[in-house]
Amino acid sequence: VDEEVTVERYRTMSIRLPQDLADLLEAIARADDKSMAEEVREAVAAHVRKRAKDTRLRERLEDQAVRYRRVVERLREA
Amino acid sequence: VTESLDVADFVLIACEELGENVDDVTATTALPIAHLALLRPFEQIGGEEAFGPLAMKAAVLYSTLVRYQPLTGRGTADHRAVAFRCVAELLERNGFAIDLSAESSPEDLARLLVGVAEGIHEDEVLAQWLHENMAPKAGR
Repeated sequence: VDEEVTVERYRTMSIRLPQDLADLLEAIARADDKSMAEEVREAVAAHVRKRAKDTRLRERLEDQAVRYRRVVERLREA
Repeated sequence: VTESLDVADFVLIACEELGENVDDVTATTALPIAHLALLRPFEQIGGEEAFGPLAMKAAVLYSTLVRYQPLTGRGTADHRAVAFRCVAELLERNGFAIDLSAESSPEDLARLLVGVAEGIHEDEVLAQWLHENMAPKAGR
C-alpha cells in the first residue's frame, strides 16, 4: 500500500521585534485565533502580493525573462 | 542614489523565474537571509560605500545570493538563476541593461556566473564584465 506523504516546506527562524510591535502582534494573533507565526507569514505574503500588483515591475520581469533566457538556460545547464 | 531590491522584489523575481505562486515562495524563502543578502551590496565602511560602482554592487549581490541560498530546499541551479535575475533587475532599476548582442555574450556571462558561484572567479571579475557589457536603457 502506497503511503501518501505530504512534506510542508517550512523553515524555522527567530526574529527580533521591538516590544511594542511584539505586543501588537500577540494581540492581533489572539484576536484572530491564529499563531504569531501564521500572522507573520500572512503579513509577508500580503506585502509581496501588494508589490505583485505593480504591473510595471511584472512587465519588466517578463521582458527580462525573454531577453536573458539564453543566460539562464546556460546557468541551469551548468 | 542607487535603487536597491527588497525581499518583496526578491520573492516576485523568484516566483517569475521558478513559475510558482507568491504564497509558496514566501513560505519557503528564508526572508531574513534574503534581506541580508540584498543589503550587502550597499554596506558602508566608515561612512563610505564598500562597493561603489553599480556593476560592483550587482556582482556582490549575485555572489552573496548564491552563497547565502535563501531559497530553502532549492538546488544550485535555481539559486544561480534567481540571483542572476536579481542582478538584471538591479541594473535595470538603475537605468542599465546587459548588452548580450554579441553572439558569445550569453555563454561568456553564464560561464562567469558559474565561476563566481563556484569560487573560481572573484566578484571583481564579474563586475568588470558587467561594467564593459552594460548600457543605459533607452529612454533614460
